Order: sequence, then C-alpha cells, then structure tokens
Amino acid sequence: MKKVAIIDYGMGNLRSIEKCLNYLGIENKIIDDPKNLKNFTHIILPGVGSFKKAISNLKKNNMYEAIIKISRNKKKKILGICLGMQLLFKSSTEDGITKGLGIIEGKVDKFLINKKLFIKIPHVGFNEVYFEKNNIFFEGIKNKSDFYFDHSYKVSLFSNEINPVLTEYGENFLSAFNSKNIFGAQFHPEKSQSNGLLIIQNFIKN
Amino acid sequence: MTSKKNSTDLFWCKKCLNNSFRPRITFDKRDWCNACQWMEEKKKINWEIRRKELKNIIKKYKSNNIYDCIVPVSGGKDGSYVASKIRDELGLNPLTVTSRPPLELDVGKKNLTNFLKHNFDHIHVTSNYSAMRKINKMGFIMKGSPYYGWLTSIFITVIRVALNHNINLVFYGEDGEIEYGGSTQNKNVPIFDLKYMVNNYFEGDYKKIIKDSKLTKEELYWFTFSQDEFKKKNIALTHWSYFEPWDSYRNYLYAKSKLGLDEHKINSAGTFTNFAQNDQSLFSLHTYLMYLKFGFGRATQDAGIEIRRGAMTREQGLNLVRLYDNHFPEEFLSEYLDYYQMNKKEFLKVIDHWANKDLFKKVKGKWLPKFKVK
Amino acid sequence: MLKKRIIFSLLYCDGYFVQSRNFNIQKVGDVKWLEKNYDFKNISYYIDELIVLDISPKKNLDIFLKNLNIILKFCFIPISVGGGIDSFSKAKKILRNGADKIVINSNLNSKLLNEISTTYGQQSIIASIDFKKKIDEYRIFINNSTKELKINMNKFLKKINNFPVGEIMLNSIDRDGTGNGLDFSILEFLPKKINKSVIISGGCGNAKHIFEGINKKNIDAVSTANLLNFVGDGLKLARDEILEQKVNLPVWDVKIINKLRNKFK
Repeated sequence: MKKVAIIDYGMGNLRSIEKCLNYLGIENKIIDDPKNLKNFTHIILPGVGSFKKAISNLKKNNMYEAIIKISRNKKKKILGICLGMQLLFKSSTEDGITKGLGIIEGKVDKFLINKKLFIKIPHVGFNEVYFEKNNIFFEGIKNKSDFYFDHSYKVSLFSNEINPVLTEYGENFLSAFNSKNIFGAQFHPEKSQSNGLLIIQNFIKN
Repeated sequence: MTSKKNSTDLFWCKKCLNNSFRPRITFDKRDWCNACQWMEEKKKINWEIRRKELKNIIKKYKSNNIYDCIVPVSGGKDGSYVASKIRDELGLNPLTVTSRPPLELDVGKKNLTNFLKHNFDHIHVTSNYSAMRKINKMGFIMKGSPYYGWLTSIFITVIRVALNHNINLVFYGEDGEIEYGGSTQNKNVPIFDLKYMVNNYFEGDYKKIIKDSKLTKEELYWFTFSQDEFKKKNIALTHWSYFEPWDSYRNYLYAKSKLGLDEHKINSAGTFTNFAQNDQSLFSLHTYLMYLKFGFGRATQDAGIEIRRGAMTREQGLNLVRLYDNHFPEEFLSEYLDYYQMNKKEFLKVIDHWANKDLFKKVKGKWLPKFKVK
Repeated sequence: MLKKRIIFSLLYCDGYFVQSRNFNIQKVGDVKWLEKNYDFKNISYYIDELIVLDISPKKNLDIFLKNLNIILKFCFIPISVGGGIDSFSKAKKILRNGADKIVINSNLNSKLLNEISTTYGQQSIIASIDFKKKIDEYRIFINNSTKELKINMNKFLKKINNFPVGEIMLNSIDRDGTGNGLDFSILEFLPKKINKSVIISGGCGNAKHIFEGINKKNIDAVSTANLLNFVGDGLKLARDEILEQKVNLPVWDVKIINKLRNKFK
C-alpha cells in the first residue's frame, strides 16, 4: 500500500500537493513530526522560499536527521519539489553558504545575469524540459514538455549519474533528476496540469 | 402584429445574434443582418459631409428663442451624451425634456438628478397618472406593449414643449431601427417631419385604443394632438446618430466620467449589463414580451452591441444569451400587478396570449424555447 | 524556452464574484454560479494561472479562503491570491491555504515586502499596480482606485523593480471591463533593463486582445478579469484561437488529466 507523507516544516504549498495526491487517489498525510514518518512508503519534501530558513526549520524538530535517515532506506522514496529539491543537495549560496541535506552531490546557486543574454529573475512561468530516453520519472511525457517554474536559484555541478533533466534559461540548469530512491523536481508538478500529474504518478508508481 | 412566420423560418445573423423574427429585419448574402451591415457602412460614410449638413440644419431651424433645440433625456447615458455634445461641442443651448415614466427606478432618478447638476435646463412632464396607466394597460393587453401610453407621451411631450416654446429643432439619440436591425428606410434621411411621424405612429391601432379608452380631451393632452395644432409649425426631428457614428458604450463611458452616471450593483433584468435602461422597471416586462413574441431578449440586443463594437465575439455573446435571455421579471411582478390593478392569474393570462406558440412551450408554468440559439 | 501565460482573474466581493468596469462593480454570481457557469474543473485546463482578488470593502479572510478552496478543488495551475494583504501573518495564512503567490497592491512598501520575501522568497510576490490617465499623465491609484499616489510612474516602477518581488502586474483602470483592448503605452514607463516578469491587464474582451498582449516582446503574461465575456466555454475558445496563431503558450493534454483521476484507487 502506497502512502505519502508531505513534510510540513512551515514552508511550501502543502495543500496543492495534497490536492494532487487526493485527485490521483493516493493515500497521504501532512506530517510535521518526524516520529510519525514510520509507515509511509513515499515522502514529499515541498518548499518555497529561503534555503537558510528551510534548513533551520528542518533542524528545529529533528526533521533534518529523519530525512537523511530515510534517504538511506532503499525501500523508501523521497521527492523534493522546488526548494525541496534544492535542499537535497550539498549546499546553497543563498544568504552566504548554507549546508543542505547533502543526500545528492551538487551545489545550489543563483542564476547568472549575463550582459549578453539578459534574463529576468526569478525564472517564473512555463518552460520546457529535456531528458534522455527511458527516464522512468518522465514515463508517458513527451520530451520538451512544459512545466511551471518559479525560482531564483538552481542546482549546478551535478553528476550525470542522477539522470539529469535539463531546462534552458540563460544557461542549462537541472530541472529534475532521479537517483535510486531520490527524486527531485525544480518545477512544481502540482502546478503543471497534465504533465505534472504524470510526474507524481511516476514517482508513486515505481 | 407578429408576422405569420413558421419556426422553420427562424435563423440567426452570422455576425451578431439578431434573429429572423425581428420585425423589419433583413439579411444579406452572408446572412449578416442589417444592423451589422450598417456597422460596416458607418466606417465608410463621409461623416464630414454629414457634419456640414448638421451646420445647415442648425442654421435653418435654430429659433430666435433662448433655446436652440430640444434634447429628450431620461437621465440615462444616451440622452445625456447628446445634450452634452450639443451644448459643449456645438455651443448650442438645448432644453432637455423628460416625460416621467411609470414605476421609476432609484438608479434612474439619481442619474437624472446628477445629469441636471451639470447645468442643463430641463422640463419634467408628468402626465395624468390614471390616463397613462389606462393606455399602458390597454397596450399591454391588446398589443403586448406594457408601456404603450408612455412611449407616445414621450413623443408628444417633446412636440408640445417645442410648440409652446417656439423651438423648431429636436435631437433624438439614435434611430433604433437603423442601429439595431429594424427598418433602414431612413438611413440617409437627416430630418423627418411631424407629418411623417404622425402618419407612421399615430394612425390605425393607436387611434383605436385612444378612442376605446374613453378618456377625456383634458386627460389625453399628453397623449394625442390634432393635425391643426401643428399645421403651421415646421418642427424638424432628427437623430444625433445621423451626424456622428453612434456608439452607446462610448456614451456610457462619457456619461459615467463626465455626467455622474451610476449603474446597478447587479445586472439589469434579462441581461448581463447594468448601465442601460435604468429609468423604469416596465422595460424588463417589455423585453420579456419581446422575447416571447420573437425569440430574442434583452441579452441578445446587448450582446449585439458588444459584438458590433468589437468587445466580444459571436461565440462569447452566445454564451451570455443562453445564460440571460429568458428572464421572467419576477423581481418586479408585485409592482406590475399593483400598477395594472390585476391579479397574478389575469396578468399571466396576458403573457401567455403573447407567447409565440411556434417558438415556445409551457413547461411547469414557465415558457421555454423550443429552439436553441445557434 | 520560457512560454507566455494567459491568466484569468476572479474578483471576489462579499461572497460574490463580480464584473468590474473601470473599477465599478456588478455582482454576477456566487461560488455556486461560478461552478455551474465556469466549470473550474475544466477551465483551468485552458488558462495557465489563476488570480483571485478579494475586493470586499470589509474583508473576512476565513470565508474568502473557504470560497477559494471550493473553486480550486481541481485546479492544477499556479494560484495567486490578493486583496488587502498588509501583514506578514495575512500573507502566511494565504500561502498556507491554497495560494502559491500573493498579490500586493495597496501596501507595496519595503518593510512588508522584505518580511514576506525573507521567509517565502521574492518569487512568491506579485506587485500589482493600478493606473489611470489624468490629463496627459499616468497616475497610480491604490485602495480600489480611491487614493492617488503622489509619486510619478517612472520613479515608482524603478522603485518596484528593485523591491524583492517576482513579478509586476500593470492594470489599466481606464480600460478595465471595457473590452476595448489593452493599453500598451504604459510599457514605455518600465525601466529599460527591467528584471521582473511583466503581466499586463485591463481591457481584454476577446481572444484577439489577449493575443495582442501575448505577442508583445516585453510582456510575459496577459490577465483578464472579464467574467462575463468568457463565461461558458469562452476561455477554451479563446485559447484555441490564440494557439492557431503559433504563439508560445504551454500545451496541455486535457484527456490525460481526466484519465488520471483516482488512478491509484
């Protein structure tokens, strides 16, 4: 029986994710106490806002350690969304350098404003993703499909082992990945209509 | 009277949503109605020439009087716009005239007051209450026209005021026939005279109703007049829409920003707008009867205006017509019964009589269309 | 490639959804009317984002959020909510109860914006600006167009561009609800190197108006609040018409969304 825990650490639109899961018919619960994470097969880590504050909030009630522990259990799966995805990496340069959960190799930094290629920050709106064939996270989704993004920071210096999915915005950045039991989406699948629902379906299915 | 049309004759203009049952409507090869054709023509007309005509007309009919012309108003957007243009753009001195309608609405009364605060001279005629009510009721029963008496009084009030004040020029707003899909015979006629009006509107049926009303000469002062009364006078009646492309939404924006026009807080009965025909509540009964007789209501008319001015497409208008057209004015029913001194049964019997049975069927006490607007 | 967005705005006032014309409102229908005539389960497939603004003179946030969540039940698109947000706690409540972004109009000050963006990030804030032409100048109004700001348009937009907000929404009071098309002249007042996304609104009556906005290089999204003109299948028809023009809009597959309902049950 698939059961999803949506982590509540004070940041992120929990209701939208809950709504998606309910629509798909997946049992889910919003959890703010790590002690209650035991019986869930899937964890969703949402997030919108400051990396620094997020880490600080996660540490407050020991959610930080709990997530790291769960990530080592191959039977459990974790999906980080937007800031939630960024938190899975080693560190971020938002507000000085902050250490992340460190589950996946890679760093988070701001979009470069380039004099040649002027881009607006934050990156907000629907943009295309590019992925290699046979990506289980993107099963049933066409290459170059649109997803909703809304962020000023992105992941760089990641390894090719994590099945990286890229999006172009001034430069190519990591828009999604999946590595063993850890999944990440920089975009908001809960805000991306049909494509987003398929992403969540694929996360739960596998 | 409604023409003997079969429901198979029912079709709709391809540009707006006017239907073929509308009296005096015509269609071209594209199945565009005459209102839509007129919309195209308006873009090609040489309005400069018409402005010159206006100057000549003013020269000819302007009297040595303190007032140059009469502008009939109700307090609504159209009359207010015309009066303001005549005074503030042309520099004339208009006398505005209103024939008080029955069952006035608060929004309308407020609008008239606000309009007059902008320094327009005004004559407000209230005709004999029972006389108007009698003719209105007879019109309701015998012609399905619920304010038949008031309609005539508007016209005659203007003429009597013109005669009494030695004013020879009257500016109406728009020629509704030309603008909205009726007779186009006066498309290129700048002025028409009293004789024409009397011959077209005050013979036949009207004369009979006046006779049958058994009202006295005194009571009928604002509802009739004889040919000798105006024989020697040469009063020119004209429409502002002849001299400037008519745009009722433009009039609304102008009246709202410059003349204190206010709107309803909800949509007016039977339509999706809230800024037109807000002076009296019988209009809603009039448009409901129009709907039952011809299959189109107030929303259809308003959608046509929006479509023709480019604010929405036909498909968008269609959604609004389906949502708003068939509206029995329940909110005013007790007012109507009280006014006409009828009970509900009698009232509904009249409504039922005027419903076109080719177009409508009664289901659980409500008239429902047999057709679907396409 | 970043796509353009079509945004639909709902104006909420004391339990009703309204049509606005130059900021004068006409009550149209309550949430039940909306469900019946707008079928949000389906229209959210034809728009890219939804904005809901509470323009009630006396606000009741709990009732508003309750109404909001009825409409949002099947919306899988970004939702932005605004109306009288003047404190961090209000912003927090709204963001935790259905909204992805908040819209701030009458309280665009650095203190409030810093407070909210520190926790939720600047990308969660849309700065909304209502403007009207007075004689020959564009003036800014707040509090439902009742109060005029003294600052001039150029200075104000420069200021906003440096505030911690994600997007700027320019709304023409003169064009609002008229169906006369968008006012593009206001774009000349934006700083040359504006680094926020620009949403334009005010005057869209039909698909053509929306397309004109979407087609402009310096516009990222177009919003319409014309509740009457797009009733029924109006938004679907508008999107279909615009897509025929080969513009960069995201593409959705409605059938998939329907297929996925209760997939795991």
